[in-house]
Amino acid sequence: MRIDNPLARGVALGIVAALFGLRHPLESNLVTHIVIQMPLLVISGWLLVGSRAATIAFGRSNAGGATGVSVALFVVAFWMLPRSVDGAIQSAAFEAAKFLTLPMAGAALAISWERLPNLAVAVIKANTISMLLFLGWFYSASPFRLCNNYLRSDQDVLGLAMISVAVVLASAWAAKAMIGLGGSDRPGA
Amino acid sequence: MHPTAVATACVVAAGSAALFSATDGLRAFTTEGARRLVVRERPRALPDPELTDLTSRPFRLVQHDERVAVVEFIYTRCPTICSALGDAFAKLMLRLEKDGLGDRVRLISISFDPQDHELQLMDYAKAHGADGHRWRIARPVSPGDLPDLLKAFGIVVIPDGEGGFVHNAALHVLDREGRLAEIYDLGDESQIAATIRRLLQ
Repeated sequence: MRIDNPLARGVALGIVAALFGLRHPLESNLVTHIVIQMPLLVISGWLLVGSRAATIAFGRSNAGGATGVSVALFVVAFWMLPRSVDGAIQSAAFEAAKFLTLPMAGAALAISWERLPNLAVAVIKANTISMLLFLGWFYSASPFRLCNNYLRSDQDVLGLAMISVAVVLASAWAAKAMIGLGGSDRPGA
Repeated sequence: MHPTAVATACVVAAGSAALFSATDGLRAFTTEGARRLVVRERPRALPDPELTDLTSRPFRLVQHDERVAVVEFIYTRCPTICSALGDAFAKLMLRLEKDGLGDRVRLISISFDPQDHELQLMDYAKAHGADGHRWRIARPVSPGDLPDLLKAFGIVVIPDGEGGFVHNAALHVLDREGRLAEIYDLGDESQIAATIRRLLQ
């Protein structure tokens, strides 16, 4: 999805500023920390640099979107570690890293999306769904507290939220793939 | 080589290295796991605040008297886990007596709850059989010492939403130099006894 509208960049900056201002209330709850704050940081990064010019500027070192997708993959993997979630609460350096790297992951995806082969897009979508289902099951099934800064009971709610997001994404992507609802988000592909 | 291949290889190398280091070599995925791993590999020096059990003279957490120590953190209103911690210490004390190590180990339960005063600490001691000599129920003399102490041990205390607290409960073994050397779960008394024997050698 290409965003060449300067308004989108304004909105993205606004979202990041709001997320920063609201970081204490959002992080006081495991679900809002992981299911709201973190994805919104990624989305704002996407909105910030998702322009045609940026896609072209990184063209040579990002053929097929391989470099950008790798960046996003490692950043997301890092922030899925329970340790990293605790770190963001206990350490200012971790928190700063989160506000820097998650938008970076979104930006990396944005400049890669139109370049990705169809198969890669399908793999990424399928993996996102299965990862969310697995993590949702894992957080709610674990008898242990996985984060020292959250209650065990928070993990049940997080698990349910992740599974819900997976179901919504799966339905939306399936609808798009099978009956063409919503149109293509990759006009250039 | 194509610039994309070089760039992707760099990202994969840097990303893998970051994930490897962020999990201590894929060994610790939670803060609690990391805390135990790190002190086992590098025993950690601790702050040495004055503690008081409010019935006798203040004493130091670290004593340099050739004894090892086992430390747990509690709050006396705690209905569940701290009571289990108390039972774990009672069991450990019996076991150490039986092994003839009773006078070479200090057991210290430290309360992190500012609402725990003399009466509460004494009640807790009575309920669990702490003798106030080998096993003391204490709190820092100066409440200002508490945050540093919890931080050094890696204890995170959060409200449980019902007026109490939740914390990463564990049994902490201090070596003869007073360094945090091993961290165990409740129920690992036999392993703790083995560690104590090793540290006393």
